[in-house]
Amino acid sequence: MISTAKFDFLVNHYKKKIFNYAIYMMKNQMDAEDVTQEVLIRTWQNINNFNFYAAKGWMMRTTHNLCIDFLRRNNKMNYNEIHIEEDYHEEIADTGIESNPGKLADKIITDDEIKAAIDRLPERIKSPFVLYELQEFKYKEISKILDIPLNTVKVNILRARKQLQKELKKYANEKIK
Amino acid sequence: MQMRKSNRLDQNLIDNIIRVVYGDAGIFDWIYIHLKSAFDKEIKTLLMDYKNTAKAVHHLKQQDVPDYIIKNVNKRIDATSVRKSIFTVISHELISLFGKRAIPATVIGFIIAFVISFLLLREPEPIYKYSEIEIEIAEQQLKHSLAIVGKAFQTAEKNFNEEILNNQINKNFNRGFYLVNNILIGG
Repeated sequence: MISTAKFDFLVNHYKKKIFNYAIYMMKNQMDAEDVTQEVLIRTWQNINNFNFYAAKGWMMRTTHNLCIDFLRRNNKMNYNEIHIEEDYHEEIADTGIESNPGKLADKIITDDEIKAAIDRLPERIKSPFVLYELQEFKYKEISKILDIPLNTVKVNILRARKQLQKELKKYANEKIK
Repeated sequence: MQMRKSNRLDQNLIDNIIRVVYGDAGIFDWIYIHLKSAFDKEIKTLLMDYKNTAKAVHHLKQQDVPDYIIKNVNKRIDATSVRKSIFTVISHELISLFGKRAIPATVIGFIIAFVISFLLLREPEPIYKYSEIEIEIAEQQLKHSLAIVGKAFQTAEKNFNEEILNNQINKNFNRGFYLVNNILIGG
């Protein structure tokens, strides 16, 4: 009885976070649904084995691991390396009014555009970005979920923000052409 | 060398702009970036670009989980999806309340505050005040009682001295001494 009540509580509070994180990782709803179901079943199977107050982190870690396993199995991982732009003058000049007709400041970015841009991010930086910006986890929680150092979390989120900006700019320029 | 140094500064500036628009920066960085953007068009454009993107990211809505997923899960774990027994409802509510650490501490705090308030604010036991007449009557009764006790002791003393000591003990001793004198000493 208590287990059922605990499980119901966890499902009601965290199912949306699990599902939406899985959607961003898997890039399609069907696979995300499978992952979500599997996470919830594993939560039930381990309901008496983990600390109830740490359930949120446990469930998200399980979601992340299942997504990674699935992507690896299907060779769908995005292994693109991220190169940090060293020539900053060019980057700033590029945002000038004359040279950048696709300037983002005046453009309304739709949900689909931003989701598509997030989808194109490599998994390594997408995971912490989605967990922080969209799922509202804290740096420390993300560090535990992804099992990476705290500084790496911060650096990857910063890289994701920059890469996202580039993706959107590229998309805006392509649309104009 | 100078180019590299200015590259590093610009990268720091970009990083600070990103932190400001995504809400990670402190108040001083926020003021610094906005002041700088007020005097530099390129920095202002960059700031607005990132601001636009950050706003779009933070306004993304989360998708609802389809109901059939939960139903499938419940089927697979062989649990009834809705069991409205009183015990389940109560335990669900209690776990919802006590799932958050702050709630038990608050409840305990309330209980302690209630107990302390009860102890401090309860009415003290009434002190009964006697009237003067009642006190006089009590004194008279006490004297009367003491007088009775005193008389009883006097009577007992008199009886002991006259009856017991004189009649019972002294007389027998004297008779005994008389006999001893007459028989043994012959005097």
